[in-house]
Amino acid sequence: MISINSQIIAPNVLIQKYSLNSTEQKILNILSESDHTYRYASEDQLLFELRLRNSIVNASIALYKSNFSFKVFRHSVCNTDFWRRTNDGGFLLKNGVKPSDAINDIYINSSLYGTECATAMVIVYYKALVDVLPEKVFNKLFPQIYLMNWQHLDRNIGIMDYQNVYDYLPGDGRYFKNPDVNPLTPEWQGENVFDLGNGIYYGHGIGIGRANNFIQALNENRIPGSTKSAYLMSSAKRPNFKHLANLAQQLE
Amino acid sequence: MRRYNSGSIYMNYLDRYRLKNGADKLKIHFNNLYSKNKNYALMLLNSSTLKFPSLFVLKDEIKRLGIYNNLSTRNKSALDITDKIFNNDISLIYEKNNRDILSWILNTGYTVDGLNQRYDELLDKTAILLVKVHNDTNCLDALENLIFSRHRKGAYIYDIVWAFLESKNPKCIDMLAKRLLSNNEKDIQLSKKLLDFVPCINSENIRSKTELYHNATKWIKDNLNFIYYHGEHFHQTPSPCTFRLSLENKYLQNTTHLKSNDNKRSYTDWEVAAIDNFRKLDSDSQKLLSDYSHYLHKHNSNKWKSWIEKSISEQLSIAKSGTI
Repeated sequence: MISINSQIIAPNVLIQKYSLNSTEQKILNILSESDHTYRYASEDQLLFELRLRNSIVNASIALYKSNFSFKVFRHSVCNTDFWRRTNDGGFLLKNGVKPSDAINDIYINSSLYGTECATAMVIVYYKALVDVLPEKVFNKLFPQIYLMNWQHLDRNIGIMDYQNVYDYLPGDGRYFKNPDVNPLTPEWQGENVFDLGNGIYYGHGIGIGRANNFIQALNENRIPGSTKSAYLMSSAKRPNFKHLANLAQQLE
Repeated sequence: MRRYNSGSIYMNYLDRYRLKNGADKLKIHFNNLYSKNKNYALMLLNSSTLKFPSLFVLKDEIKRLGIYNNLSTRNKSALDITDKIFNNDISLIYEKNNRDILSWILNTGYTVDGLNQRYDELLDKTAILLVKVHNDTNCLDALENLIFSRHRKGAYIYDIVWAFLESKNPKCIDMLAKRLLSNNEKDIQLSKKLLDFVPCINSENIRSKTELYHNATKWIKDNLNFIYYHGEHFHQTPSPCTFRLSLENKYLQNTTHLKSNDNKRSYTDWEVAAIDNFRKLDSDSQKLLSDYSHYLHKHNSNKWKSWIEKSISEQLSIAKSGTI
């Protein structure tokens, strides 16, 4: 169920606003059919979440289609016109560079970039926000960007890893864990992915596919003789959509 | 295997030369030594006092001069392992007699961390092999040292942190807690991140690092029987939960194996039912009951036996009153 300003709403009017089988429509269907009540202070807040989730899905697909390569952190590469590669393999926004330009460059000059799946997730979040927020707002919100796994993500994005979720939605961040990874290839200890809807996921390095495709790829990189399979964890990562919606409104 | 520190009077001439003049000059100097006196150069290279970084630096020279067959067994093995690590050679998983050489590489090599990217990668994988394949816990001091020295420099720490934690050894928790007393703020921040499962770790009411250390170690000591390795890491989530507390086992006073999260003893039918009821409670009530149960068990085991047999609602009201 969806509740807006303490009123349960019938989603039909909203659903009709979006094209058939669009990400937004899928999300609205899941939310409205759920036993759980998803609460929003306003319709704008809900619409912002729909836009951002759709943008996450699109940014994932665009990154997959680009020439952005998989490289372990020790050998990560970036376009040094926009980013400084740090000692730990991360990419730090250079002084004097517009944050939105630097994020867009990863998609434009994608062949100059390569890193692991965790940083790819972070890149997708920023790109999704670049595409949703007005340029001025994005650059005001994120003047300093440090792309390196989950550890330097801007607090305003408010990423949380929720252990108990009622429903999985397109745009959710998920994790396939490989508990018996081959110790010589620790980069295969798990795969960060985005839920693209309809049981399809995107994970940098493996690509786009169903859960069994990811599990199979990870299982092929286990310690020899292992009988413990990789698996999709039940937790889901989500930005603080409401906080971002409020910030966007305040700054516009 | 004997270990020598860099100030030891036994320090090998090649190590001393490398430390004083750097890796590139050692290569040139070794070539000069070899051209003048092959036996002397080989003797220095094969000396038991040599540290791995010098061998690593001279790796290409050894190949170029064609002297691999003149190397000691230790040196040959170390170079073979180095090549295998760089090629992700799966035989390293099966070869169980590599442990001493891997230990030699790590223990004589970790102080030169930062030599170059390849070298650091080699240290990471050596550590991972020692922990994950050879179940070596003697290397934990070296790993802890590497983690914090790299973190201070802003260098890549994540694989070595993974190796360290994957040892699933309670000693890791103690070592991390000791870093809360560090004079370096970056050490404290990292230690706090890795000890995030300790309730007081981010408390704003704690005024000094000594107070934080004492509170944290007191809690760890008190709860060690119920802590287990959870296995979340920095690549997986923004706030990884490295270890966790089993509230269920704390409630029933059943020890949790830190490595496996298995219970020390199997639950009785009665305990299974009690756990079912416990799981239906909200997290605050679960915490209250597990804390009270532990406290009562420690101070009055007879009263605990009678308390634990009461209904869960009665247990809760007694726990809320705080009486023993």
